[in-house]
Amino acid sequence: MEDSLLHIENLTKSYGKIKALKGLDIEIRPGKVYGLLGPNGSGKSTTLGIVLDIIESDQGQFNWFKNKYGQEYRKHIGATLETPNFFPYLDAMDNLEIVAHIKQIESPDYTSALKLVNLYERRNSPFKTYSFGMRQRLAIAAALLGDPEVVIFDEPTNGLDPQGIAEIREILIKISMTGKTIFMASHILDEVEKICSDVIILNKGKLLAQGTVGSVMDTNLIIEISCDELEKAQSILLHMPGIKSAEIAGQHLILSCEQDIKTSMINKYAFEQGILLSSLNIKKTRLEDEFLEIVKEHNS
Amino acid sequence: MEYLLKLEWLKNRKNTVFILICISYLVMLPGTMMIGKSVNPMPPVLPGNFIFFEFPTNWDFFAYAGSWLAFFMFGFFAVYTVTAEYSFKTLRQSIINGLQRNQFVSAKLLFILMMCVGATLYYVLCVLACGYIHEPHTKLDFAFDQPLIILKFFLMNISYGVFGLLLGFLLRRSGLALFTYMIYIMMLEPFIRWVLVQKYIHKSAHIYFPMNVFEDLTPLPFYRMMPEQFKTAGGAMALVPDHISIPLSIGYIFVFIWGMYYLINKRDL
Repeated sequence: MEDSLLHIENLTKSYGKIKALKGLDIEIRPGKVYGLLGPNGSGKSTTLGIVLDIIESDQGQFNWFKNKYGQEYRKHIGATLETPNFFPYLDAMDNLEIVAHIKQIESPDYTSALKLVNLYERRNSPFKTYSFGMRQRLAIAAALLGDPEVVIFDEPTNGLDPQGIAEIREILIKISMTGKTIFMASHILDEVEKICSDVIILNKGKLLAQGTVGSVMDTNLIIEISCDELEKAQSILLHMPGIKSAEIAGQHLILSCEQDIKTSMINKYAFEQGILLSSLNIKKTRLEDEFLEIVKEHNS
Repeated sequence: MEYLLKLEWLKNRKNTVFILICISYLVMLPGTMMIGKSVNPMPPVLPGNFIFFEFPTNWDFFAYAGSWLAFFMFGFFAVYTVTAEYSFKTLRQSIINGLQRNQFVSAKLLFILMMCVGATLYYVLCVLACGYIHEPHTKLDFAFDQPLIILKFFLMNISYGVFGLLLGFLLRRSGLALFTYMIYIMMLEPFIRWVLVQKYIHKSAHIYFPMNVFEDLTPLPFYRMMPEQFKTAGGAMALVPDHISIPLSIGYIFVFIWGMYYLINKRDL
């Protein structure tokens, strides 16, 4: 509980017969960038909805900022869930003014917020004339208004085209560099891997893993090799000390090795066994692989 | 209170629906009464069309015209202002941004209340202006012969507004809520009252239904001019008397308000 920003304990929520959350425990600490991962229906949005008070939990509890702000805690959080929600007939400035009024921000800096998301030039256009990417950027600007202690984004790149995704990603990276606590649910694991310091993996309403990106990812070294006789190479290299597994994937053989194994050692061992390798590359372990592995293990 | 009123003002000051409703009300309340000028000849029991414009009967006619405007404008606006927040998902976002659920309801109620205060003041202004234009030498105590009508006019406005808000919170979809608002007032409640209650329960019980009580706060003025025996023809009361309609309206208004707070706190957003 020490230096806890959000403490979630035994959170449970059902929609009829469907159990969306099954006793979820999560701890969020300040200054970190959290990625909340999980397949569709894993309970990500329900969790965010409960901690933002728009969904009632059946059981369990949570508290923000160690109850420092009482019932006013949401005024110290900047959040956007699922879709950007604004009054369509009002322009960006008017919509931000409403957000600032609700949050009781004394001197809101609309200009900085709008410039950060590249909407300053369009600040006087009605929200209904914005593209989806612009709407998403306005939602980010609104979330940042008043310099909240924590910002929450739920699928910030959902529904965007590649250019929109790149723009949002760039903005998120800028925010993450300010040292602000970010709690972000996303399907785009590449994005999480690039931005987040910590990940929380959910599946079927249960917490599967929580920790730094490094600790959650496989510590094994992954090496990808190519040769003419993949099956023969597989059976031979499995006997090499330090190699834990060897799997054929298309035209390659993927080796999972201990960290002290070097590519030259594999090349030498294979050559001594009569196999000529045509390529040999160290492959970085990706969060996506790890995520799929963790979810697969849980489902089985 | 200022915080909540300003919040609603920020939302509505550039809202075309709100602006149109305000302008229409300002034009139509006195404008509707001008129809009285063209009623010629008047039905034989009525002395002349001056009753539309002169004290003290002009209070009743303006109030009756105002009740139709309240039904169409305040009720519709009340339904719209809540259901629009559901469809834009701005209700949900307001809560995320830090507004309490009860504050959201209070803000809507306060805004409708202010609109009704404004409408009532405008009503008083229109009646006085119209009355003094037609009878410039009227004494003030004669002009304010029936001050209770101002309270009843205010309650009537509030009642349509609160009923609209309740339907908005209950049904959440604009089309459905507006349709239900119309159908309930114009068809469903009259059907329950006239077909079911009067026939199977009690001859006069049907008049205590909420919309009828609200309507009877500012009824068609000819009712009041009817001889007593017509008002209770067949042993059934035609109108809810003031000493019942005023407290009963206040009671219904409080029940509707309770319903709104209950709904917003009970449901996920």
